[in-house]
Amino acid sequence: MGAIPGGAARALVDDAEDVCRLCYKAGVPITIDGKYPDEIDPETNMIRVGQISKQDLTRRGFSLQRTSLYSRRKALAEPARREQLRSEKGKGPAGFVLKGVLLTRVGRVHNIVDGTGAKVFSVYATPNDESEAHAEILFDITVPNSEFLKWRLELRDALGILRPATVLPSEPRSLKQRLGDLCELIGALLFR
Amino acid sequence: MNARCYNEVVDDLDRWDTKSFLSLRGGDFAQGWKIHKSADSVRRLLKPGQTYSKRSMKLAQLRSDAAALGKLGFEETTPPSALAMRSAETLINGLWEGCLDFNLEVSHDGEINFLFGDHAELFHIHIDENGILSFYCKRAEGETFGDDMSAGEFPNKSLLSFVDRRK
Repeated sequence: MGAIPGGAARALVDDAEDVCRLCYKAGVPITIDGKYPDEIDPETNMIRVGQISKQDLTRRGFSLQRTSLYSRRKALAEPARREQLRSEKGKGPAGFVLKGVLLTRVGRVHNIVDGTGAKVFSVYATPNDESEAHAEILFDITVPNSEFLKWRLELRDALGILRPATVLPSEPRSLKQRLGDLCELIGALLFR
Repeated sequence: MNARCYNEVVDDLDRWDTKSFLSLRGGDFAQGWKIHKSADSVRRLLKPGQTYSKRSMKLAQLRSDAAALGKLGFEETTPPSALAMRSAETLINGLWEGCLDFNLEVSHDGEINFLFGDHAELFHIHIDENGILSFYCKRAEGETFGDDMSAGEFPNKSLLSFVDRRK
């Protein structure tokens, strides 16, 4: 368990788990250069660093999904859910599409360390009403702004390039499968 | 154009195209300068220079992106605060000539990012919701940081040195 902004304590996600970030694009380019709300930089095929905001990493949490509890079906249904939310608020359609996912192992994020060897980011399990798989990345240490600029580049690299949503499992792993994995892990630890 | 305006143009020469600068002919100095061109010709001749145009374009993009974010109505979308906008505009107006080729990214949280360089060598300037500026520069030779400064305090020299070395 780790302390997070707000004082609450949440469970850290295991290093061996995979997490994904869903990346959307709205149908209508709104800003001058048509960038927003496309989160992906077409030159690098990685998330735009500007989309990894300090407020996300220090307060709200940078949203992810734990792939073991998530599925392709849920990911593909997400744009429709967002449109529905807009419609309920009386807003017009935005033409959301899921561009793809950024898929990484939690250990890659946890392995980003500062000069003293202290972990910079932590991935916390934060299930909510919409998704039991929801997780968040938050800063684990207090850093000055300029260091935030440095570490978010490391985080962008750890998240890697955009991949199609088909890399996600078609269905979430069942409780039985997960218990099986846990037993296997405990067995490996006991008989090591 | 009276003498005061003429002086302002002279002080601000780098922003104007002076190749075809209007000719002024002094008659009786005590009566002031007399301009032998029509007002339309003056406007046509005083075209903004490249630096001025770039600066104006970046300011326009900043304002447009900020306004668009305010109108989007997406979940978790916030336009930049007035403080952040003021800082960003001060920075753009204060950037030295030669430092105006950058990517401007306004985040969904209203943070404003100025990105110079590429993946290997970069210079990032960040303005937070309180208008506070920070920067980070990564080059083969090492890193440079700067924190908690106002836009007016930004060390242009450091950025120009980065831009010049990449040429």
